[in-house]
Amino acid sequence: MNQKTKGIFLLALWKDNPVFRQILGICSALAVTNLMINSLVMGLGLIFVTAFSELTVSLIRQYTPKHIRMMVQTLIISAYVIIVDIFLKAYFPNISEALGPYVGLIITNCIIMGRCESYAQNNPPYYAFMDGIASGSGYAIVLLIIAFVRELLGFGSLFGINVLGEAWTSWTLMIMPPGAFFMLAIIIWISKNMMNEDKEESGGVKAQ
Amino acid sequence: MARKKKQIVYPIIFMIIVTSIFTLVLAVINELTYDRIQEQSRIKTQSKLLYSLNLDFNNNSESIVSSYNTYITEKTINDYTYYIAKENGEVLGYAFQVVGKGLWGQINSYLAFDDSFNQLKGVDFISHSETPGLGGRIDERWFVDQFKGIELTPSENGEYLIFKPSIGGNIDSISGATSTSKAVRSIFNENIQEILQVKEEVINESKN
Repeated sequence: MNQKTKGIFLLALWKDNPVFRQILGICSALAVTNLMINSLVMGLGLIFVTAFSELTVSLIRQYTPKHIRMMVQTLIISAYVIIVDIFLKAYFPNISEALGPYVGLIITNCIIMGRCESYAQNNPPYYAFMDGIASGSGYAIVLLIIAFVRELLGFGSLFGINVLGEAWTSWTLMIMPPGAFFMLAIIIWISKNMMNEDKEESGGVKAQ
Repeated sequence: MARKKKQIVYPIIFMIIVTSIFTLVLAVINELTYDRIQEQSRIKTQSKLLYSLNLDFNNNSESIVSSYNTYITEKTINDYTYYIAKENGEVLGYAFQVVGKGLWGQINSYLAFDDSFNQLKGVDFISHSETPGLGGRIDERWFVDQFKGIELTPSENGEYLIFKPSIGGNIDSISGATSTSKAVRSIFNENIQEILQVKEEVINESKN
């Protein structure tokens, strides 16, 4: 892994994280985070779609007429989303049902189109692919953190395995939509504070 | 002029090529997984039938298929497809597949009766297109489970299911989903009435 790839990962996972820095992909981050398994599948789905969409966009970027590039990107993204949807339906029907419309809605996740447009359009395929994996992971990690707290407090379990015992009183609030809003806001708040400390030490973080 | 023409033709050709490639890929994937997805949805439907009849099964495909094969015989009468659940030659119950008009589309469900048609054994919804989060909540267990064990004695106006808090009410409707609740109630009431007219035939048939 060379310096540039490391830079891509550092930006996507922390400094320029799609969820808590760019506030993208919030809708699904709020919706599927009541269970860790759903968040994991959603995160993996997004990593797959973002990485391969960016790769494809980057491969054909020199042949794509500029004024129809968004149409092409949407087409590419939707094709990969359909692949994920079919794959889940065929091999993980229970998860497919639990995620419901959100698998199909990966297509509207701003992270994918945002990265295709801002990164893949101007960079070679390898880095575009890496950027896709990095951005997808940045999203997946935040989802897992939110889901960790929500599932732990809301059900007393992690990945469906009970860890807090029978005596635990579940916080119903945590598995309902407000729980997601609270958690997301707390994460944005904490990361913002930590980011500001970095700033004072190193003299400013440049957004990409 | 010539240049302008080129700019229109090239993007169109480009788009056609990209679209054909992705359509081809998706068509192949769809073809390869078609049987598997059909199989999964068949198992899902079978598990719903078992659930409506209140039969025990573990939530994995082998257990569902084996329970289904042990208990269930499929029959038809008039327009109904119905299923007889038998254990060691003794009838446990009957489940009828009923279809009716919901708010947005068809509501397709199983309606299960006990061996003498005195009680509802349970219901489950196979498919519907109600609003997610509102009418879509008819899938939730608390709603489905309240149909278990309801006595089939009609009220004055010939209805079997009445929403609380009306006099003689026996089920709760879903708040915020009045149209769906009403649709479900009328589908069930109408079908119960029709099914009870053929109950003698069904009972005789099951003795063979």
